Amino acid sequence: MKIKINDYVEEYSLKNGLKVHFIKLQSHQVYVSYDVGLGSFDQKYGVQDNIYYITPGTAHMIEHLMFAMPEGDAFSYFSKIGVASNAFTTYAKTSYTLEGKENIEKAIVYLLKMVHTPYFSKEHVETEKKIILEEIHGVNDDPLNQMYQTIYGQLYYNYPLKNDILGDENDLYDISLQDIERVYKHFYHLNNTTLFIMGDIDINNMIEILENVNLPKDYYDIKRLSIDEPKVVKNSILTKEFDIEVPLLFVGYKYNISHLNMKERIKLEVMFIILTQLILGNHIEFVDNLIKNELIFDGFDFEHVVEGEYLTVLIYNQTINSELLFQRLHKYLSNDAIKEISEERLDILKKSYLGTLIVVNDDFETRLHILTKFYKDGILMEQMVELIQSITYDEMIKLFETFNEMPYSVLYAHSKKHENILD
Amino acid sequence: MILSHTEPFKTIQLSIYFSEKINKETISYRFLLSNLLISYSNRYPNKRALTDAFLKLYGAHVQSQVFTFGEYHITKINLTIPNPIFIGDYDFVDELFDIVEDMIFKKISFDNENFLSSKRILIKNIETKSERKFEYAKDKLFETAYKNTIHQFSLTGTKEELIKIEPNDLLNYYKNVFLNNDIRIIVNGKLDDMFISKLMRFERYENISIKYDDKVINHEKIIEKSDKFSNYQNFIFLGYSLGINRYHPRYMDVQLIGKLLAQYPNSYLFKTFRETLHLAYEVESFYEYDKGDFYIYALVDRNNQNAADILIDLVNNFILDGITEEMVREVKTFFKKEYSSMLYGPKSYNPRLFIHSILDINMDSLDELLDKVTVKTMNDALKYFKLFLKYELKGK
Repeated sequence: MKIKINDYVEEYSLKNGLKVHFIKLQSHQVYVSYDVGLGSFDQKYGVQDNIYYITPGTAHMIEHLMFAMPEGDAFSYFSKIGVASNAFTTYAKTSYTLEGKENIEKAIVYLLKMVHTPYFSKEHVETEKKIILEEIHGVNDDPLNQMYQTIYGQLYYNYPLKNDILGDENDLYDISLQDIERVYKHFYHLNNTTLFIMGDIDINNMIEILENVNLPKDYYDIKRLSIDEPKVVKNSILTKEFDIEVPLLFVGYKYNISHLNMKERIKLEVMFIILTQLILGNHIEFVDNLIKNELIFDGFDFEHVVEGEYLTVLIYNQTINSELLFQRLHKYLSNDAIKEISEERLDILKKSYLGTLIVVNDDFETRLHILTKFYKDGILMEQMVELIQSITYDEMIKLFETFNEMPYSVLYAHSKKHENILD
Repeated sequence: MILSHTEPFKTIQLSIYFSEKINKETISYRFLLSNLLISYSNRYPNKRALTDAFLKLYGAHVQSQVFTFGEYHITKINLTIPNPIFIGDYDFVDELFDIVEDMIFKKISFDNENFLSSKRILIKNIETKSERKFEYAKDKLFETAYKNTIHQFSLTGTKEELIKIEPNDLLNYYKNVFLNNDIRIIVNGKLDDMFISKLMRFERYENISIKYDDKVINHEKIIEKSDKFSNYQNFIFLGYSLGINRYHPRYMDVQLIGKLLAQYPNSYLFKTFRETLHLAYEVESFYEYDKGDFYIYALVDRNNQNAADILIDLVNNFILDGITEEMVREVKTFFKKEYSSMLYGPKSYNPRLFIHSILDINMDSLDELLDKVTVKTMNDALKYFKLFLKYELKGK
């Protein structure tokens, strides 16, 4: 199987210190992401001999505040020139994005100006907190998100995954203007930012424009410091009531990956995605029997987070009896699940996953997001295809054995309203 | 069959639309069918076998959806196919089309096991709707705004209706009504001759029979209502009756007014309700143009009792202040960009082509449409905005 989906990246370090990556391809729009290496996982760092802590939610709050400019709101400027702007904070970075065609050069220049113009005030910080508080309320109104945060809290003592990217209400009140200014100063500089431009672009013209942008030269050597995290789970079992109609079972796994390099981590993530499908996909007899026996309604859902020093895997499903489902699942994973892994099944799943990559590639925003996530580790689409194709049966068996030894935690999410929905 | 050659996409989207007039009695039938049809085929007799078959086809997948447009209830079956050009293998396409044809058009019976499994999934879906907040809120909104009309009913039907359906009733409906629906097939992607020739097997299922009825809803009285549900935030919905549908000369003006009011970061309510008054993170608008109605919604703190009235005042101010030349310029620029982006998603092509097909209108060029919009026409469109609904779904 020869998949023809390659991205060609041209990388430049400009005289003004800006690092820019061009991905030239056929598209109606140009997609831009200006990435700052500050995410919700950055909670402890050192500059020179000093150690600093970051309150959860700070990176996200800076993202909100960045659009304020001395001359007015940057959103207005982008809208007026017909370019869509947005921003988001992930575990690892804050991305400021643009999408447009006409005036895109102007917009990129203004985006750089915006990100490198700190225009913070106490009043603005306090008013923005009110908006973010509503954002937090909205997120908290989603029971699934509450359950995610609960199981992460069971798995981790200190690891930042246990905190929502937005922080919680208390975190929000704790963030001060001084915190914002300090974190901005240490993280928002050219040594910690990268510009990605994807689309049908004239690269030479763009370089000429970008090289003439005046950007601050100061930078800090940030040393990201790890948070102490025991390898065992904090709380192996929890029964908790949520505002839900149907109970759920969550099983979360944690695995320290600090011994792996970035390519190995990416491969491990892909292998886990394939492994969970291999042993718990809808085509598996065990899953089919659970449905036939009316213990579950539909197949399992999975979440894989490979970020920082830990890999986290969640397996969850709605069920009429979460305790009984866990018993069955645990017995299956300890005994029969390994029988579902064969060379033939692995090949089928690999093919299917490669097809999914093609599907994902049709969404340009997602494509750029994936590219910005993996590119720094030398993984482009071509390498991703090679990486998937290189996965062997023996590796998968070894991974399964590792999986069965990984510390895990169980959340029995019960309904506040009903003991058992079918009673 | 409508074939759209969208050169740069790596996938092909094949959409099959089944349409009939909304009928309260068959809402649950269609909801159940949308799940059951894609759960198994004659050759792959259960979900397990069908999943396995799809896995072998390079991650091709099928999804279903039910929605309404005007007085029509539409079931859409959508197949996403990694384009064989990029995989270098055409053989899997025949196998894939065999499955789809068998699954959608050639069901012989609904065996009890699959039937009950689909029913359980959908009953659970109805029971857990209040956890999917916006879906639940929109159902409650339509129940209130369109009371005593066919639009008041949720497209999931009710749990009781679903429980009552027997396999034979559904099979009769499927064979005698569903397969005789208006059926349109729309495909987009980088389509070469080989793929098109394989696709032609579906042509015989097409049945274009709808003559779209150009109606809007008349709201005779102002409705003010609130309900409660378990939530931290309150949903506020304001409904404006315009009587402007897709054929109306002010249709494009309303689209642009929607943007100016609450659909992008520089919009009026984003700047006032959110950024100045800090009353919400989310404030948006949507235009139900098939009904001639326009809505604004916001999610606010449940302890805030005045937010709905403030929102009404702000919209009134917007209407009173009117549209300026600068606003028209800005919103046209933004709309052009957004439209161009929308064109550039493989999944947005087929729905647009379907609506144009059902309305029997040509795809005008965007520039032509926008050229007709001026300050004068937009201000004229504002005169159509009549508040007919203030609905609050309050958190408790």
